[in-house]
Amino acid sequence: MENKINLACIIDDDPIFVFGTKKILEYSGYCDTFLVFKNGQEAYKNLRTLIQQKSVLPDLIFLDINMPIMDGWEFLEEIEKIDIPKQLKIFMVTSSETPADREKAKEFSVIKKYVVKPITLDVIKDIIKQIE
Amino acid sequence: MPHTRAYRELLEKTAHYAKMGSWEVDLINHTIYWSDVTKLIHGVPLNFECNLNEAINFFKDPVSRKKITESFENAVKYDQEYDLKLLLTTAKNKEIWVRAIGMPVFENGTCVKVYGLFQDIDVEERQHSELNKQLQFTNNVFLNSSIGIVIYDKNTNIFKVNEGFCEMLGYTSSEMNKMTFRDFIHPDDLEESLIGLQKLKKGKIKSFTKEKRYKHKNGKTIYIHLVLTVIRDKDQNPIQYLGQVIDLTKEHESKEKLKSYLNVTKDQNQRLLNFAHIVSHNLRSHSGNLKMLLDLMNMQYKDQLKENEIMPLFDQAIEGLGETIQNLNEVVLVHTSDKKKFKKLNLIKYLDASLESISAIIKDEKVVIEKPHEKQVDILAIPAYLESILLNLLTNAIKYRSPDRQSHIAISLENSGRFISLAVKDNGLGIDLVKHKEKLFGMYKTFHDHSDSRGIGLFITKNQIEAMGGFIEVESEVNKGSLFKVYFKNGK
Repeated sequence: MENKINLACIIDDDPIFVFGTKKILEYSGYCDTFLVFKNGQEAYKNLRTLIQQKSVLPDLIFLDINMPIMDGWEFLEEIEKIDIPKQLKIFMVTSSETPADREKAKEFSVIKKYVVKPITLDVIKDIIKQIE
Repeated sequence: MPHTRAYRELLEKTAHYAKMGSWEVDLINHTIYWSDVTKLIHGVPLNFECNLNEAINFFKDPVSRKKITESFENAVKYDQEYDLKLLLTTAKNKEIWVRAIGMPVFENGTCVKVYGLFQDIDVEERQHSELNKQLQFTNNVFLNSSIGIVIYDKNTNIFKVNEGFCEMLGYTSSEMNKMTFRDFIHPDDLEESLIGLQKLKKGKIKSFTKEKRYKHKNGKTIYIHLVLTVIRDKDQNPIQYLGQVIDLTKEHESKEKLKSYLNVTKDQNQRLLNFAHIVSHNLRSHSGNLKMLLDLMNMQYKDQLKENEIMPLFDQAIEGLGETIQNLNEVVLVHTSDKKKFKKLNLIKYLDASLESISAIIKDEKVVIEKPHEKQVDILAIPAYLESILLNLLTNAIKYRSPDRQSHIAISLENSGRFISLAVKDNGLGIDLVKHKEKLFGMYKTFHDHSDSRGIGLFITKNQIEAMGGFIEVESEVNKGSLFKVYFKNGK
């Protein structure tokens, strides 16, 4: 398929969400290779190494807000400190509809979109369209 | 004694400056003599000749008249001297205070004459009575004031206290007179008071004003407001301290009560926030997962599930769950809104945007919209709430249109000073307010058999309006239409 994503990264502590998102991306044929991290810290450490080694980076990142150890906001603060390649497209995917969270997301230029769960095929299609 | 001319003049001068005249009543010849000063005091000319009856008539004040009559009779009968303060009415009809001294002269057991002195003491007397009034006034204030008043001597021993102060502390005034302020001041406030007293003594401050605590005789703490001032002698040495004390215990108690209520409210608000968090994060993520998994199942086993009768119901149930959580979230968010997000907004602009967003339905359903003619009307509101309220009112008006006639919606504005009201009037199905008024703005109340009725819109609208300091009114008649009037805070 033309829009195929080479590598998608999911940072979320909820195994059902990770499973579901992977499945939708697989079935829709957009992507079949994933990087999955259970929290912000794990994601930060690994992504930093990838950036430093100039390895292949994910085309898009789905980032949850509420996670143990290091949450989505802390992850963003850390990742913004290193020189991130422009292709790193982060989508905030969360259950939170609190206006405060929405506002806060606007403070990070690296966030492409604030997506409220659940992720459906239609949502995925929109996202793919946006990163084209 | 030399009866020189100089001496006579001196006597006259003395009489003049002392405003003291002499008089004499000769009881043998029935004549009266008044000296010049006496005549002056009576306000009569110097050539005035008077008899005894006339003399008495100058005492118009009944008390004075009785006194002088009795005293004069006693003098004549019993050889009694008198010295009286009397109110005299002069020939010029002016009331003045005089001192009348009378001394009888007896010869062979019979009174032959009475002579004496007559002095104008009006100025002195009036000053005295004024002073008396002042003293009484001060004393009344001191005794009857509900403010506690305490006077300390220069060593801060209690010199005098009033009833108010005794009541406040529960001691009698004789008990109090043996005490110093150290005996009833709260130990934690002692040092501060001593410092204040020193400053006051040295004249660094004019008065020492402080809220502090005293100990009542029964051991309870009372809260008071003290104003302490210093009274100095003419050499500026402190001689006394005057303390005025107001009992604030009741106020203090109600303040404490208020504080505890505030804490309860804070606590409840915190719980509401926690609840909001559970709804918006935990509940939502579970229902989101369910929805996602169901979608996946439908994708993956499309063909196998086609004939399954449970799957569509499952779909519905999960859809319903998601919506309920969504509603719950909105409701909770209204009550945890941040007051600081109030903004001055142009209502017209927001109204236009709302109409634009539903322009497709308006066109499809051929609804006639009558817009207000104003170009700019500012209100104070929270943008997200305003959008939600407008959309809700407009979609309701369209949703509950009558199938029998063309749908017509009139939107108008009114400025009532503090509020701007927005009226949305439709010609739709209407609501039976007699039956439903109480429940109209309740949660999960629907009044029409409409597949799209969620029963949450008006509930949220009302809550959002009230969270912005406004209110909502409704008029409706079945099969005629409804009028919803929303009051926003004026942005002017």
